[in-house]
Amino acid sequence: MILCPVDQHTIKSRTNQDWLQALRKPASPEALEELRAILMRGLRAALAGRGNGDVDALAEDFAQEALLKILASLETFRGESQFTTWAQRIAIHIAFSELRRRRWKDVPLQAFTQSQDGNELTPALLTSPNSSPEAQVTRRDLLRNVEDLIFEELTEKQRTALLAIVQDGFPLPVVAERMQINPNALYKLLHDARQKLKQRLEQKTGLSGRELLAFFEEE
Amino acid sequence: MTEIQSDSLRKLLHRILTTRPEELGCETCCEELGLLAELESRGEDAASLLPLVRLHLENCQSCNEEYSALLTALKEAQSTNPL
Repeated sequence: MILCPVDQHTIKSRTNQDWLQALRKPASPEALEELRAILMRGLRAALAGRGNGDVDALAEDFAQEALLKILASLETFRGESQFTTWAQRIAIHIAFSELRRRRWKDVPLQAFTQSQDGNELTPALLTSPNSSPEAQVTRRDLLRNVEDLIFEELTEKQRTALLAIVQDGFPLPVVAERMQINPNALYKLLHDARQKLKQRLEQKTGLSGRELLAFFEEE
Repeated sequence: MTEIQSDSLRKLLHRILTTRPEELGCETCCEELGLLAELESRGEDAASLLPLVRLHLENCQSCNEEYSALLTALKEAQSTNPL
């Protein structure tokens, strides 16, 4: 890819059609460089202050990778936003996906086990001074029900993914990559799991999700 | 093997009880982020125009992080090259 330096103040105002036309093969070196400059500026701003090391070097690498992806994806641009916004979104997705991958690469997904009966479900958050003893007991029962249902109703894959995200803070795309499924498929798997748990909780308690939520969150 | 912690259960319970029948996946949401960012930058009511995207962002830390970064990048672009 041949690029030539560009002064940011000389960047042209292009319409979406202008961009598409300029970037289709053979791509205009001037348009490529303008787009690279836009991506670099956006990436530098987005990555600044995140403790990722040399922001300029990272922005350079990610902008280059994004340019290739953008050129290969021009026909998927639907024109719902400005072309440059669409391009920035792709660059940021590439950058953040890679940074997440690097950050979590040495952290294993864990298998979870049901807690033994005991004092695990008696944290301070369940014993608000404003709560009646009955309310505290009901909240505790509700949490125990959730835990039981997680082990009774979910597949191991659903349970591992759900708890990796909620308890261990794993990003969903990293879990998807580990499980070798795409993020949309994992989201669906987790959505199915949450729907199932919600239905079973409603059946067990005879209350709607909204009523349970209101009860649990009242102080 | 790890046990589930109480605060995780509480977070999970909230997430379960706020589950809607229709939700967007990450990739679908990601495709709409550009439009959402432009609507919000113009001060339009993006939440009512793209409610499922907004809902996804409330529930998905990764997509939310990318959306915030996109807003930062667009703000930077506007400051150096106002529309």
